Amino acid sequence: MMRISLTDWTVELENTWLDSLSPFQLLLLTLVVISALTAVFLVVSVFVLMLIRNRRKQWTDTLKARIEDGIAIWLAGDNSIQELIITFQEEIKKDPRARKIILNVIFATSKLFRQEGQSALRQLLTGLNLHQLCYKLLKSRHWCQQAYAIQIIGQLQMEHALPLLKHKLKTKNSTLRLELITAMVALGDQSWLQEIDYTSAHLSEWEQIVLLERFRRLNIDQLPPFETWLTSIHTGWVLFGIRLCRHFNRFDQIPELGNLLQHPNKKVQTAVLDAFDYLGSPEIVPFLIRYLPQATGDRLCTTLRVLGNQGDPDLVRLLVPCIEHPDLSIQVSALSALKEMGLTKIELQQLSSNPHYIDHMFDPKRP
Amino acid sequence: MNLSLWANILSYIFLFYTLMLMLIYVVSALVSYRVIRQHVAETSFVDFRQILTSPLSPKISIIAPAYNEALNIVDNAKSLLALEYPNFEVVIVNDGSKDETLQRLIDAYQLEKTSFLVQQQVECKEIIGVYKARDEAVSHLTVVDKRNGGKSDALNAGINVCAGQLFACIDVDCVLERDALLRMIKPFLEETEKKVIATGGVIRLANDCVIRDGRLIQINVPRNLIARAQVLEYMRAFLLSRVAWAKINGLLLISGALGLFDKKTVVEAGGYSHKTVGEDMELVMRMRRMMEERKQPYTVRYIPDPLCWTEGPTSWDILGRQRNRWTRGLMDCLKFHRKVFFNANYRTMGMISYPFWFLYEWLAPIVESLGLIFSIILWILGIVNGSSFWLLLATVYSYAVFLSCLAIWVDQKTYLQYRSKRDLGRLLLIALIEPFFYHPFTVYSSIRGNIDYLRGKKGWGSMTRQGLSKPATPNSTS
Amino acid sequence: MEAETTGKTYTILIAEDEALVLKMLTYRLQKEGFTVLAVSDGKQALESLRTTSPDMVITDLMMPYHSGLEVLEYVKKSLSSHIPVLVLSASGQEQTVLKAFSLGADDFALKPFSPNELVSRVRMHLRNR
Repeated sequence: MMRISLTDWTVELENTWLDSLSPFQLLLLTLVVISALTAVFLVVSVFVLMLIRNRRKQWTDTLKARIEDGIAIWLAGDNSIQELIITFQEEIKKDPRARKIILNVIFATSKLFRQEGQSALRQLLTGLNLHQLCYKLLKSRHWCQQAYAIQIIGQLQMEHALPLLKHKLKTKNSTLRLELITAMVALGDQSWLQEIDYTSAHLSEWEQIVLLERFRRLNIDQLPPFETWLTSIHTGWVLFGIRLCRHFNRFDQIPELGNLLQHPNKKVQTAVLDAFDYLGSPEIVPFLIRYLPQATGDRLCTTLRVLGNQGDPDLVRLLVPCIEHPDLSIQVSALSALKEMGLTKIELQQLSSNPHYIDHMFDPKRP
Repeated sequence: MNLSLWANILSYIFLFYTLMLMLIYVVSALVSYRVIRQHVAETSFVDFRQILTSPLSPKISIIAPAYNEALNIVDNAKSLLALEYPNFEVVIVNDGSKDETLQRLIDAYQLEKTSFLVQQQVECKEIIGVYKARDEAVSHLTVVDKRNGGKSDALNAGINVCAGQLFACIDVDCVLERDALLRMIKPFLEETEKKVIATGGVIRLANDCVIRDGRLIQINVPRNLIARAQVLEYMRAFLLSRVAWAKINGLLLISGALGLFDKKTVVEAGGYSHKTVGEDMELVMRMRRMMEERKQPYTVRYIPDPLCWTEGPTSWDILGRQRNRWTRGLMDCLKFHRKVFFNANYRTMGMISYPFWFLYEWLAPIVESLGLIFSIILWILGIVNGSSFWLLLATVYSYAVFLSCLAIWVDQKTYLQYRSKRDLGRLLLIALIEPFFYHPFTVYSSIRGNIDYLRGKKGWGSMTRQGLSKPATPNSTS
Repeated sequence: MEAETTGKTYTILIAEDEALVLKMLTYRLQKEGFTVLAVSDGKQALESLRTTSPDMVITDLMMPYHSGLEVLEYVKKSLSSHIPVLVLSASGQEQTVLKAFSLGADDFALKPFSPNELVSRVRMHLRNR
């Protein structure tokens, strides 16, 4: 065997060895061959990917650096926009892929600024005809590309794209929907809201957090007409409405919020209590008094605390029964609420059968 | 003749078992790849830093048990305190350390003992003191001093003291990515129809990586072959398998090094169990069982982003102990929850996850070694020829290499953690040689675990008591 | 331009790992008449602080090798606490802001920022020196 040449060896392999294999062994052989071939394919593809990546990265990096320099000098005021556009058009002529990179850099730049500079960047974008690229991305099959285009449209305030966005409102994709809402609020168009409310059943906590933070950063002068959301059939939208009231200090909505304490969903009740806790106006008291008998658990604790923060001595008699509540945390909440209302340690000790907590509450080392 | 027939039947049983395993891995790898791609695309649109200022984010308590960690505890605490999240606290539980762990923390952060009402929600040993810092900038640090009771006990004490709606259990010597909590919280908040009871995170190995001030700066493939083989093993497990299990809502194991839990559910389930060394897996199984029995819609989610870096063992001795303990932990979990086995009432958990863990995670090392012994015997007896034997080995080997290559490929197409030629070369080399030395050793350790378990060795054992969080990592990251 | 009228050009060290921000600030501040030392990570920042002593430091927080907090600490402890330090960060997390001020930062600007505003802040700090 050792001395025969390669061809002889293969012939022998085919003739004798393969023939001698049982079906079981053949099956094993097939598995070996398949696994080995796929493994080789994967390894080759890993290295090819690496080569392509490295080559492309070098090109992208140098191009990006040039573009960034150009934009930075222009923004510092040393260059006119026409000069910049001509330079960039030359880059695009050299390699059309530069369009995408210029778009990326413009977008990244615009994210660094708050308000000023956005319109200048928009000029640059249209000057280079890159808004057309945005529209093209908006029609792409991949939602990632669409979402990216929507981000740019919102960030750079490209109002002409509004009609294109409205078509997309029926989307089921949550990322896309978030980007759409942000972009439309940024563009100041409110007419779409009803449509969103009816088409999408849920607005998750996550979406609420993201949207709220985005609204806060947009420095919008006018909130979306969230009053209608307070009566939505979908809890997510109701919650979002309540939270907008809280974070944008909408004292005018207190009566609506108060009525929502009767909402069957406990999360809604909690959110209203949280909003009341934050707004802290005396107008909330009657709603809380009405709510007190039906409150349970954590919500009862919050109600007691919010009432306590009012510091109104008239409320003391309402809270006293809670001191004997079977739940320890409610006892503690009631006691600290009464403390807030100005009751002394001795008065509290007379009311409670549990002096341990009172000692704890008046302990100066308490965190 | 009769013997040969039996040999044939047994061969086919082995073959069927192996083919099933191969099929499961390939399918789960494909599913994982799709899910990870989708996940990466989605998160690329999330600016996690924007959420940092959100007052709506639920409070998270990080519970980090520490036992005789004096050397690095201050650095580790510093890196935990620097995590990015709007509303969190760090609860370090000193589990009756015999060294200066507590004193070093007190000195470093000027802690003082506070009066604190501890609600005994889950079982734990006596809490001696609760410490807080005077400094506003570290007001989110709490240190709990308690009597020694083991890792589960320390975690339970942390659960009793912490104030968050959610708690993250982490190993104190792990290096977390700064935005780990922001990423881990997402599943809890985005689910609208089911209750998310826990989220697991990926653990990757940090051997030979550059770490400064509790931050990972540069990723390298370790030079040490044992560590390198583990890198590949972790990649296969986390990139190819767990993601798919989470996708079908069948994830049973959330690694003790990084997991985020819904506190209320954990308390209702009874907290961490003192009876096993596999307390991380046992908790998830118990929570799942509870939710299934209550018929509440729930899910356990998983974040494929590499968020947690830890040092893996570099000596055979420590690796062997770790695997031995894992096996015993797994056997405990399977034993405690045997009722679930092919029980349709427990849906995915009963019909898919548990049987898989039973047949392929626990039995695989046993079947594998039996299969090898069996074929050698057949070969010696002359019932099968040499070709059969070598083909069998070649099948197993080529399949192992294929899976490793797949893991490397998925990494390249998703997170691109290892990008230099040198790193890829090292990974490929280990993929080729690992089946000869590393894999047999893990099989051996796991069988040792089985034997120790049957002999009645319970708990962490006297030899593994030096390190509480992980005996596997004696030299913690610094 | 203030820098020119007082007859002295102020030197400002900018440490920022995002190339775009770094370039933008460099060109802008150069145009305002300042001398700018631009570095892109914490290591370079500490190195250049060892050789030169700028009149003001603008630093990002999240940088490779050494964080902005370390740069801040070095300026305030090893150089002179009179050198104003402006921290520029994308994270407005309360703990971060508190930490920066407790280490002696003179100002904290959140990204996205307004370049005009930043320039006037720089002017204010240099005037108050």
